Amino acid sequence: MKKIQGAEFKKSLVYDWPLFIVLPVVASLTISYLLMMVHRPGDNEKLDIFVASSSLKGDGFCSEIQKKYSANGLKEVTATQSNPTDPVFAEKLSVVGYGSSDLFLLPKSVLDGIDPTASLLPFTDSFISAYVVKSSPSFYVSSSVSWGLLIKSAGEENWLDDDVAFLDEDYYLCLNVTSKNIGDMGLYENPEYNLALLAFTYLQGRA
Amino acid sequence: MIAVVDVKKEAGHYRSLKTKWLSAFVISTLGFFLIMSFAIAFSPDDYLILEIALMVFSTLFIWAALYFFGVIYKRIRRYDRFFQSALSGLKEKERLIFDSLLEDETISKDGMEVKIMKTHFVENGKTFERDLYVFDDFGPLESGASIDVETFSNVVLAYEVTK
Repeated sequence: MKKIQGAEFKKSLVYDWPLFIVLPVVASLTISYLLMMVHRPGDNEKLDIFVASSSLKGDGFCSEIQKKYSANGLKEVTATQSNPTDPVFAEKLSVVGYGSSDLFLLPKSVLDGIDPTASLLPFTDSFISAYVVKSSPSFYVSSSVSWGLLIKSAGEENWLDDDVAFLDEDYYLCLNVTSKNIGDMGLYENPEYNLALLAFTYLQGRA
Repeated sequence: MIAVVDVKKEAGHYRSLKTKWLSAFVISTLGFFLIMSFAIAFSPDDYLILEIALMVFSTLFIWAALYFFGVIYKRIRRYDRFFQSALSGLKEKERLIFDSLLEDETISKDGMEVKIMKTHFVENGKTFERDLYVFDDFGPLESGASIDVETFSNVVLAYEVTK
């Protein structure tokens, strides 16, 4: 009986051997994909930083922020780079930046060319007293409202130089008013989700 | 006629075996998907070891399922099909001279394990060899004995020694 079963098994292997390989591979890929989807960071567990620069040399600053606030539930920090001289920069800022980024690192020339009221978080006095930690802060002001915090002056060195190829301009750190990670400062009433605010203080603290 | 195999009983046995194995497979498949779903849904953040374990587990399950359908279930299904056909099919009756039973040699006939029974018959003064299949040993029969056999698809179902 065992002899015949063994022979039948060998026979089935001859014809069906691709199934013995393909099905486990498909199952493994499916398991991997499902686990990845289950553990994909939620909107309140990830940050995206939009950087208007000529290039990104690395993402060390993203890793630093992620490590620093992993205990607060931060699972992923990404950077989106776009060159302001690029013809599609405005579209990229509008679609990718305003659509999904939490923080912006923008040069003054870019800020001068946009309407900040539509997308940037206005810095109120309560916001400044709570989250601006620089001793002598300088702001980007438009229509008597502060929209960005000066994080790097033109010609000065900055700790982000290792990762970001800045243009020779003043750079401001701004927050997206539609971000879900700015507590109850923006459009959403979710004070416990403040990862973008923590990253905001960290970026100026290292500066 | 002495029954070599009880067709009705065997048909019932293999039909029930087929249902049982298929049910066992369905239940184990459901269990497999349940375990996988729970493991994935409640997986820890650092899931690398779990991921590898699930991949190994699913590979073993798939191999077992392929073995089940390629060997075990296929075999049961063939026996079931044979006995179901034998229940309602036309059976052949013929008179033959028994030569020998190859007891040590088991072969596969349409996926069923059988032994070969060597017989012959004489027609118009000529001798013709006739090989039949049997599921189990039976007898004892002496070489040269004249037997009436009832067969289905060349498998002996019953016999009677006539001389």
